[in-house]
Amino acid sequence: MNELEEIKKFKLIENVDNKTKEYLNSKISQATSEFCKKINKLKLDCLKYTEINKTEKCYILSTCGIEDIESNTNAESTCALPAIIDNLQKDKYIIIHNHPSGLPPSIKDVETFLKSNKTSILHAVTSKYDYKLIKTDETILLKDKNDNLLFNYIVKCIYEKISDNLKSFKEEKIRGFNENKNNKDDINIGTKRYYTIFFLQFLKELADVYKFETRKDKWVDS
Amino acid sequence: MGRFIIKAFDDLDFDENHSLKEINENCVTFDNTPNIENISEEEQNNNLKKFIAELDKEIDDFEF
Repeated sequence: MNELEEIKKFKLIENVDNKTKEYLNSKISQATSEFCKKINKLKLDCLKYTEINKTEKCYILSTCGIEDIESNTNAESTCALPAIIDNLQKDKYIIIHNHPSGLPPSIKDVETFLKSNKTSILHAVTSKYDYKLIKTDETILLKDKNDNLLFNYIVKCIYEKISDNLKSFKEEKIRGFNENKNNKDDINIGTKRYYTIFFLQFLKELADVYKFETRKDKWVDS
Repeated sequence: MGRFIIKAFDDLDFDENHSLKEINENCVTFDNTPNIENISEEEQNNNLKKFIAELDKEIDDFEF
């Protein structure tokens, strides 16, 4: 995982006129380090809520400068986030939230991410992975009702394409089992895993159309 | 043999605003099928665990 790469995308608020290059470099390095620590702290906090509390948690972190603000929202889901973000004054934000269910970023997460010009990165933390949606210079935003309708249509097209692919791809992997009274929990786990594979492919296609980056970092690697 | 299936898009339940919120794990169903009477319940449950392990590996190996 390379948080530094992410940080480089953000503008630091500094009056650079009277400062030496060395001083600026040290300030940028310090700010980057502090910012990385802050992101990691919030991600670990989300991980704690995922594993121990098993409840949802969401942070919005400003990326404008060294004096970043941190907002801990009480939003029940990311559905409420566009309105919250629009009311904030800073230019760019990182959303860090968790998915206690273990599932990747949802359609609503992607929609929120694409609707808000201010959201530069969206983290969805599960007990195993840190999923990230990252804006690029080419990312296509959802600005109005027509964009939203087109988004719905594209979602439908991708859904149908991926479900067809998955159906034929999985034929060879079918093994001998049925649902019975002793394996209901495992059937539920299998359902979530199967959906995760489906949705990861879905996200990949959606990211390709809307020109955003997606990453999946395993916690043991970070 | 039983299998997990992704529902057809048009079979998903949308609300009156055509919300996309239904695209979640509920879009996966599990279908039981006959003709596995030669496999014991214990063996079937082990097969399911193996299948989940395969899915886990596939998720781990997935690259965007």
